[in-house]
Amino acid sequence: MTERADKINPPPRGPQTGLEDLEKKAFYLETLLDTSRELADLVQPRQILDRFLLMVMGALGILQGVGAVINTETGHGLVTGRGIPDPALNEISDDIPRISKKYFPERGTSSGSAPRVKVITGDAITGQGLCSAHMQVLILSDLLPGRFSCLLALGERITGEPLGEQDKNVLLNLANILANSLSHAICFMDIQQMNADLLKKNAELEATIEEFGQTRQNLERRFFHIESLLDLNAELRSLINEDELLRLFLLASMGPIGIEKGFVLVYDREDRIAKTAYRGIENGKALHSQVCEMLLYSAFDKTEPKSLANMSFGRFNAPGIFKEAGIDLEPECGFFFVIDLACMGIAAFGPPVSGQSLSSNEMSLMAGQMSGFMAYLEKARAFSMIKKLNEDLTNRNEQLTHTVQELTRAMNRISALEKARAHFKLVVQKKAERAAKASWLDCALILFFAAAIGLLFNFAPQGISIIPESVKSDLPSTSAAQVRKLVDEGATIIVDARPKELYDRKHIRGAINVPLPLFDNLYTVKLGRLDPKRPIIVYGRTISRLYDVELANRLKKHDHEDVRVLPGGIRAWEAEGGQVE
Amino acid sequence: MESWNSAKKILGHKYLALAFRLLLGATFIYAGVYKIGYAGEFAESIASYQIVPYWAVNILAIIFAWTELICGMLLVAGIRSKSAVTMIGVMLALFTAAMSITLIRGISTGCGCFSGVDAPMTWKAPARNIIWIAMAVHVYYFDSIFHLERIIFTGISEISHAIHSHLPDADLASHTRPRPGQQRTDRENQL
Repeated sequence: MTERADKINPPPRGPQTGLEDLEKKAFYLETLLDTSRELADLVQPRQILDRFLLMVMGALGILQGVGAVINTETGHGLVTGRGIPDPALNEISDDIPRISKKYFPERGTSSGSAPRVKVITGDAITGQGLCSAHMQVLILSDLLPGRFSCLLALGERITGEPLGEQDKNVLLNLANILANSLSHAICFMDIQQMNADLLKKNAELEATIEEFGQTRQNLERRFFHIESLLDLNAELRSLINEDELLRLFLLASMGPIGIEKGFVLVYDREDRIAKTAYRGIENGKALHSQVCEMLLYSAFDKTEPKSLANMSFGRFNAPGIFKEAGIDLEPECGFFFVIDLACMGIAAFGPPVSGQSLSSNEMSLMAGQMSGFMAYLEKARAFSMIKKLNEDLTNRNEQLTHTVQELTRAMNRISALEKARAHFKLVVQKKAERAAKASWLDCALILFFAAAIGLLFNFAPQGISIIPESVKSDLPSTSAAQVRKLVDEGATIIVDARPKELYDRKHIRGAINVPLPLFDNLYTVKLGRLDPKRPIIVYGRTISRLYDVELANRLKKHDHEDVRVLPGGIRAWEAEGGQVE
Repeated sequence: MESWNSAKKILGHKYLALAFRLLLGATFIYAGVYKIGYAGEFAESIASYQIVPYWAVNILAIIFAWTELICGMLLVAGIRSKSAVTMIGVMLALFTAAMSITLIRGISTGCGCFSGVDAPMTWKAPARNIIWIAMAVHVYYFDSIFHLERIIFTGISEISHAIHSHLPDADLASHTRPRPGQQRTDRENQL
């Protein structure tokens, strides 16, 4: 720095002006080189400005200097100075937007070329309003056109001399170096900013990747849960047996989550039938209906939200209720579910084998499984009901068939009875009609029965001969002429066999009357002493009686050998001329 | 006119017909029983009329005696009373005709109606028979009570109605509905 101070303060002018010019040029070149070197390592615009002010003011012997880097897009910038009090610098800082608008009105005109540098000296800067009126040099540079600009104002020299042409050239070269350094610094800062942004983006990306990994794990777990839910549904879909359904539900719901102990109860309140399934619980047994109701009431009491709507369920947390019921289970998660008001149940699961609590996803999975299980349980119950109804229907059909057969038999019987009744009525009607009037049939029947009974009765000892014996008689008959001849010869006896009243009315002269009813008495008196060999002529008959034949037969029985009958009777006798009395 | 109606009412009264019926029935029972017990005498009585050929006298005696008994019993019991009283009437008419013929022919014989030792028959016998015939006609037309046959039929009819009433209505409707063109007779309705 001492050497540099010497260069800034050259020796006084003398005769050797040419040499001095050369030395001055060398000095300026050396200054340019030093400045370029000094600024090459710097990357902060403020440091570059500070170092440049120091180098320029030292080389040119200037007392005051101020520099500013302005962001023309935003109107903000940084200000630094040497030989200027801080309040003045602060004023300049506050005045940056105005300065930017004033000296760099063209914004956004990016040409992409190198920074444009403009050095204004002397009266040209008068009235510019920048800092104070002591400023002799004003350097304007568009660092990155449209984005950043640089403004540098320098005061008077110590010597009070104005800047020469050579000084202005040096100053222009220095301004170019400054502009390039600032441009590089700004670019470097942009790069740094971009790098920082990149690092930040990288960090964000890594966080995002990590979050994505977490999300992926969750999704994989969800997928596994959904897959297990689908498997459960697929297994339960074809089941219609409630016991098998409960068993498979426990198996399929506990496996994916790694639960060791599980218990499910379905209770039919109408029939008081309980179906249970245990898994991982020793001594699992069938539960009494009272125990089931106690479990249901206890679980419902602790269920949130409480609902008895059909096909609803809620989660309950009731530690200890299963111990009271004799079930070795401390539930980590329990569900109270309602299929309908007649069928309720609870499903309870112990803690996972991992010892961790169930996550919300696992709880969601279990809720989903519960929903599926309830749907299939309802289906199984509906199927059981349909099956039972079918059986009832079959039984009723059989009963109906039996009843129809009975009815058919009864109808046949009734039909037969009706026919019999009609026939019976017809018979009764005919009988009544016959009773209401006389009929030939009745008369014939009466005669027939009278004859039949009479003939049968006539076989009794007091019966009479149906056909008279006289019909069968073979007694010899004689004519009236022969009888008269025998009477005239006096060789015969004539017997009148008719009743006495007929005899008394008229009879053959000399005839003896022996009526049949009095035969036994009269025979002894009238005929008993007759010679058995003497001819006896018997006569007397009517249309209704052959008295002669009957009497002749009796005489035959009394050993009379010659008994004859006169068939013509008195009429034949009179015709023959015989006498009558 | 009123007296005639009253007389007509009395003459046609059912109890009078019942009395006639019982009288005729009892008479014929008595006559029949006697004639059955003394068939020979009855045969002689028939023969004494000298109307029936000798070969038919005995069998006629047997049949007549039992016919009288059976008809008398049926009449008293009220079984086939119309037919019985008709036969009794016919028999009475036959007897009356035979008596009249015999009386006209001048044959002196007993009636033989109730016993074989009757007094000689006079015209009183056919007259009595005519009265009985009138009774028989009365019975035929006015007799309507105390018929054993009707009582039995009524019982049967009640049984039939009982069966009918115990059958189901639907079955009865299908079985008891008269066939087209077949109307119930009054007798069916009475039964």
